[in-house]
Amino acid sequence: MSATHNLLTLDSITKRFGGLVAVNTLSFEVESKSVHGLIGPNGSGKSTTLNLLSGALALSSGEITLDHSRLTNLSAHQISKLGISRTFQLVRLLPSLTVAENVMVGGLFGHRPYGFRDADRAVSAVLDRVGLGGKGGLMPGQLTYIDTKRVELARALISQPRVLLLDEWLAGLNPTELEAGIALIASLREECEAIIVVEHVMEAIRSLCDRCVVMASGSKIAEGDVETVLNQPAVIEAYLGGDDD
Amino acid sequence: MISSGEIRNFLIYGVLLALVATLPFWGQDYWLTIGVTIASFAAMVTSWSIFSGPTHYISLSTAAFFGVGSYTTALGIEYFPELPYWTLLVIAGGLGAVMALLVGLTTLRLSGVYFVIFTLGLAELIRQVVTWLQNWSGQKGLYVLTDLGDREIYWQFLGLCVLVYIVGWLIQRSKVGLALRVIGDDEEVAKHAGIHSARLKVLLFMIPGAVAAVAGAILAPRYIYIEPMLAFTPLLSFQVVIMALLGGTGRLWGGLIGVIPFVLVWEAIAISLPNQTTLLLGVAFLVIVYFIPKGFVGILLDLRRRLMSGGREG
Repeated sequence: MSATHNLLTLDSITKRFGGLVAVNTLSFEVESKSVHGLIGPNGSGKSTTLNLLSGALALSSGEITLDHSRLTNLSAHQISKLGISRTFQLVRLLPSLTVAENVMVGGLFGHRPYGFRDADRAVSAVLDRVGLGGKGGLMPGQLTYIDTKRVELARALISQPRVLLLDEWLAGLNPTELEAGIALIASLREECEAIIVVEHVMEAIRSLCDRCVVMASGSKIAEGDVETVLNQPAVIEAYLGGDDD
Repeated sequence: MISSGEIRNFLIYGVLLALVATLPFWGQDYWLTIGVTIASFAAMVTSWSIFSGPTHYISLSTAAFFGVGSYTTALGIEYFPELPYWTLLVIAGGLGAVMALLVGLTTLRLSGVYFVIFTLGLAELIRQVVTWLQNWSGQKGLYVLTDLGDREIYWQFLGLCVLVYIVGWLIQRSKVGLALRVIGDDEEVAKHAGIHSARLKVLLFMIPGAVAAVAGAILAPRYIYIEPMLAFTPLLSFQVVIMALLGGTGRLWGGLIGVIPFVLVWEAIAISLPNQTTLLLGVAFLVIVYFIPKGFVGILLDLRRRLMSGGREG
């Protein structure tokens, strides 16, 4: 196994909305070949952090770097081209496009853009990969909930991202789907240099993540390997309310 | 790659084009006049749909570009009589494109109703500025005296239509066509997928701007005398939108099947109820948006889908 290195660095990033500080001087590093968890109660700033990473929101201050490239102040399409892809907390499929076209969008414009003809092949490969083989011709409205999530994942994956951002990708799944979902994400380790998972599902955090960062009220309150972090009293108090599992 | 189906379509369009191009030789003057109106709107409506159809950025600024084009011809003929006529069309197209670029840079960050209102306001602003300039210069309007008749104007518009269709076809089958549809569906997703939506919108908005300006330039000689109220009439911007919606923006040919019936009905109304045209335009707008939101294209595509699924699955 080759050595890992710091792939993504968040250095004192802050996001203010008027008087509200949604993310407060947050710093952490994501190593290559890792799955990094970002957890915390609702409103703790996890999704805002993801939005800052993907360029959906602009930083108020701080720096984000991806392998020595500054992402600070880049717009979403530039960040996407540098290799950061994401899914959304509330699934955002393109309603007037077929499943295959939805996925193709990521393949034509993203990090590693394909030509039209290769894109077709890549789309069917990635659809098979996420368990949507044969469903490329359907419209988003015809899909089950988990399948809509699979489409979004396929759209992010087809661009061969360096960093994959999953915003509560496992939320709302039933136990069987959850098991399949966790297995699917675990299998992506080989394809992306790093994965950042924002999740509420503890089972997923435990089985997927190498490290995790816990946020509360916009700040980092703990960081480290999952078991150690989840057993810290501050984390139990802030996030788990004392009744973990 | 061009498929055999596309080659067949090209041949069909080519034959149809050759047929309609002969209209001046066999049609009565009345039909040639109607032909000019249909061809001019076909170019403007189709180019409008290339941008506004997929992106859903409804622009009400056609009149601004059209007026600038008309004045380009008028001023060119008056002050630069040595310039060949065709150069005026090119200049008009260039001015329209540059104007659209400037408008796009300032407005395309706006979305939804803000964009609509801004484009409408822009057309009105330009009309007022031109009116003010004319008053200041002491002129009321400009004469556009040429030896171009309806026949030449008609052929010029057919040429413009062909150009618009080729551009539209190239865009539709390219990555840009898909990108525009993505922007229309969810601009946030478009950006996150790596689409430079701001740049793309500005560039594509230049197409309807340039086409409307060239249309104004071609049509100016037909008016003989132009003044701001005529060249920048806001009615034109609304007509273009209504015809585009009537035809449906989902397909390139949607514009044409909206323009033909609309122009014919409009002419009939203009003759029998000349004072109620604006009122009826409003009613038509409501009826179209309420009853056929996807236009004739939507109806035809639904019909085809039903026929095909009926044939396959019973």
